[in-house]
Amino acid sequence: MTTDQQEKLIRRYLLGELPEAEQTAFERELLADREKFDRVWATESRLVDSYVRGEVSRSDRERFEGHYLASPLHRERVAIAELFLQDLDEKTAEVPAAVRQAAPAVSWWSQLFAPMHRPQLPFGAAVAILLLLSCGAGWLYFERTRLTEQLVKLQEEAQAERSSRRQREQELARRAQEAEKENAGRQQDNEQLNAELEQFRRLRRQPGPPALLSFLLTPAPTRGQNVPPPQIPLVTNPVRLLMELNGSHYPSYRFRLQTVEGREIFSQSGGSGSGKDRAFATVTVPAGKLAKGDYVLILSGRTAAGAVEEIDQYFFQVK
Amino acid sequence: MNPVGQIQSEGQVRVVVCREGGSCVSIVQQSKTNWVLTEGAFAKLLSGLDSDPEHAGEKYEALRESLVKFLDWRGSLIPEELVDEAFNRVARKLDEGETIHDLPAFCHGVARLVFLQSLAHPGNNQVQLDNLPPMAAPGPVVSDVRRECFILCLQELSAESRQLITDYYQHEKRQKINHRLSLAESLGIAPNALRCRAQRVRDKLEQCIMRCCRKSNY
Repeated sequence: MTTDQQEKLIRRYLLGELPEAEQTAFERELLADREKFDRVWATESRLVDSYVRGEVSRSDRERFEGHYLASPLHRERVAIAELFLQDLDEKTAEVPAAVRQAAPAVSWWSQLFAPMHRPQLPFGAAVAILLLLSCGAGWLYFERTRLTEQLVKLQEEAQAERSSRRQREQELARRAQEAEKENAGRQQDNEQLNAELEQFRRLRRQPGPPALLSFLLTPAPTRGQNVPPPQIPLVTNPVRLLMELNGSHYPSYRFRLQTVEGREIFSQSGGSGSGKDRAFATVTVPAGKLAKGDYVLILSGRTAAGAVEEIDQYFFQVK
Repeated sequence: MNPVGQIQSEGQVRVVVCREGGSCVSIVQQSKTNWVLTEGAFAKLLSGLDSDPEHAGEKYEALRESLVKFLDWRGSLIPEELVDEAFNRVARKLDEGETIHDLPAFCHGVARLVFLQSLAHPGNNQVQLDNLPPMAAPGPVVSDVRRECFILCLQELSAESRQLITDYYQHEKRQKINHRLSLAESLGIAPNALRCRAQRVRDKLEQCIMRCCRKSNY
C-alpha cells in the first residue's frame, strides 16, 4: 500500500467511513504496529488543524462535521486546536518582528518613514502623520466591527436555514410515516375484507346437507297384474324408501336391496314408523348405492323369538 | 510493578500500581457488578501481557492508550472509563482461571463490546453537529475559560516541551516538512520519534486544558 493510499485509509477510518469489520481489522493492525498507531494519531491532529485553518475540501469538511464533530470530546479538541494554532500564529508573527528589530539592514518600510526620524522634521508634519495613522486605525476598527457583525449575521442566517431545513425534513418524515401508517391500515382492511369474501365464497361452494328423497314402494304385483314397477330418478342424494306394512308387525325389520339379477347391493336392519292409520317400514339407501337399473327390495321381519320371516318384495326401477 | 492498594470512592474501586521508577498506572472497577478488582487479578492481567513486570507495565500503558484512542476515534464520550471497564472484565476472566492467548486482541474485543454497550445509554451517544441545540454553542464565557486554561496549561509544560510543539507545528506544508526534518536532526532523533514526542506533548496539553475546563465547571 502506498503512503497516499495509507493516508486515505486513515482518513476514512477517522471520518467513520470504514464498515465495522474493516474498522475492527484496522484497529487490530494498529494494536500490532505502534508506529502506524502514531501515524493515525498524527493524521488526526493534522485533520483537525486543517479543519481549523479552513484547508479541507468541502466534502471533507462535511464528513468531518457530520462524523468527527458529532463527539463532544472531538469538538473540545477542535476548540483547543483553534487556541493552539492561534497562539502559534501569533508567535510566528512575533518572530519576524524580532528579527526585523535585530536586523541592521534598512527595510523599504523604514526607508519610507526615514524622514520622520530626522531631527529637522517639522512638528506639524509629525502630527499630521499621527492623525492620518489614527484615522486609518479607526477606519480599520470600524471595518472590522462591520465585517464581524456581517459574519455573525450570516452565521445566524445559516443556523436559521439549517433549523428550517431540519423542521421541513422532520415534517416530511412525519407525513411519510402517517401515509405509511394509513396505507398499512388500508392494506389490513383490504386483507380482512378479502378474507371475509373468501370465507363467504367457500361457504357458498360448500354443499349443504344432502337432501333426502323419499319414495313409497308398493309390493310386487301378483301374477297377472301388469303394473309397471315404480320409478325412481337417478339422484346423487340418499334415498329413503318407505314400504307400507299391511298388518304385519315385527319388533324389527331387515331390508335387503338386490338387483333383479340377484346381486346384493345393500342390507340393513331397522325399525318401522307410523303415519295416520298406516304403518311403514323405512330404510335409507346411502347416496351412490343406486345406479340405473332394476332393483328388488326384500323386506323381512324378525320375530320376538329371533326368527326371520320374509314379508314382501318390492320392485322398482332407477332411471 | 507492585500493586499499592485499592482506593474506594463513590461507586468506584481504583487499583493503583506503581513502578520502581515512580510512575503509576491505575485501573478502575465500577461497582456495577458484585465482583471487585483485586490486586491479584490485576497482577494476572499484567503478567498476561509480559512475564517481566517492568515490560508488562509499559505494555499495559501502551495498550490502554491505544484502546482509549480507538474508542475516542469511534466517538465515545468517556473512552477512558470504558477501557478501564474492559480491563476489569478481562482481569475478572483471568482471575476466574480462563486462558487467553492473545490478550491485547482480547482486550480490544472487550473494549469494543463495552463501547457498543455504552451506546445503549442515551447520554453516551454522539450528537450530530446540526442537531445540537443553539445553547450548546460555546458562549464567550466558555471561550474565556478555555483560553485561561490554555495559557495555564501551556505554562505547566516544561520549556523544552513548549518549544518542541511550537517548533513542530509551525510553518506551512513543504516548509513544515523540511523544518521538521531539520528539527529531528537537531534533536538527534528520527522524524517518527519526533512526531510521536510532539503528539504526546500536544495530547498532554489537551488533557490538561480539558481537566482545567471541567474544574471550572463550564
